[in-house]
Amino acid sequence: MSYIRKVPNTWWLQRKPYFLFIVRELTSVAVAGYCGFLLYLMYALSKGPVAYSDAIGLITHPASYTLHMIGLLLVLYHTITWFNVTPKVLVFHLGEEKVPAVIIAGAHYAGWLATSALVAWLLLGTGTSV
Amino acid sequence: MVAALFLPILMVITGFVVPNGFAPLDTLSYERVHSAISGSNIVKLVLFGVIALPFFHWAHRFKFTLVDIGLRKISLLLSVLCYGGAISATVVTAIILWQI
Repeated sequence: MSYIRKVPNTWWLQRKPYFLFIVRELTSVAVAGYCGFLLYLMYALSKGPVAYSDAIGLITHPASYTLHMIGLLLVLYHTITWFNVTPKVLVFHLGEEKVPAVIIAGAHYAGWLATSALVAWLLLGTGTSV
Repeated sequence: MVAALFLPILMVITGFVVPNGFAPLDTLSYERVHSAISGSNIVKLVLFGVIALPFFHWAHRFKFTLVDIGLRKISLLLSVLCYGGAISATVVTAIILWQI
C-alpha cells in the first residue's frame, strides 16, 4: 500500500498557478451564463416582436454593461489560455523538428480573428439583408 | 472551441457596440434578427452550435472543478446534474430554434 497524502480542499489557494487554474476553469460559468442569455433572446424571439423587444432591451440596462464586462474578461481569459495550450496538445513533427509553438497557437489566433471579423460583418455590416 | 472563437465577439457586440450606438439602432431589431433566422436552416444550425455546445464546455469544467475543490464523494451526482443540465439545455435550444 503506498501512502496517499491528504490534500486539503484549499490546495488551490496555496500557490498562484493553482489559483489561476481554478479561475480559468470557473470562466466556464461566464460562458454558460452568456449562452443562457442568448437562449433567452431566442426564446423571446420565438414569442414575437413585443417579447423580443423587451428581451433585447435588457442590453441597455445598466447591469448589462457590468455583466458583459466581467463576462468578457473571463471569456477572453478562457480563449487566450486555451489557445496558448494548443501547442502542447497539437504536436506536429516535420522530420526531426517540431512545428514551433508560435505557429500552432498563432493559427488559432488567426482563426479567431477571422471568425470574429465574419461574425461582426454578418451582424453589424451589410452581410444580412432584411 | 466554439466558446473561445465565438463568444468574445458576440459579447462585444451585445455588451458594447449595439447598446452604445456604435451600430445602427435596428441591428438587433426583431425584423432583422427574425428574418435572418427563420429564413435559413443554416443560420439555425450555426446558432444551435454556438448556443448549445458551450453548455457542455461548462458542464465538463464545472463538474471537475467542484470535484477538485473537494466534492469528489458526490462526483456521480455532480455528473448527472452538470451533463444532464447541458443535455437539457441542448434539447431546449433545439426546440426553441425549431419554433422560430
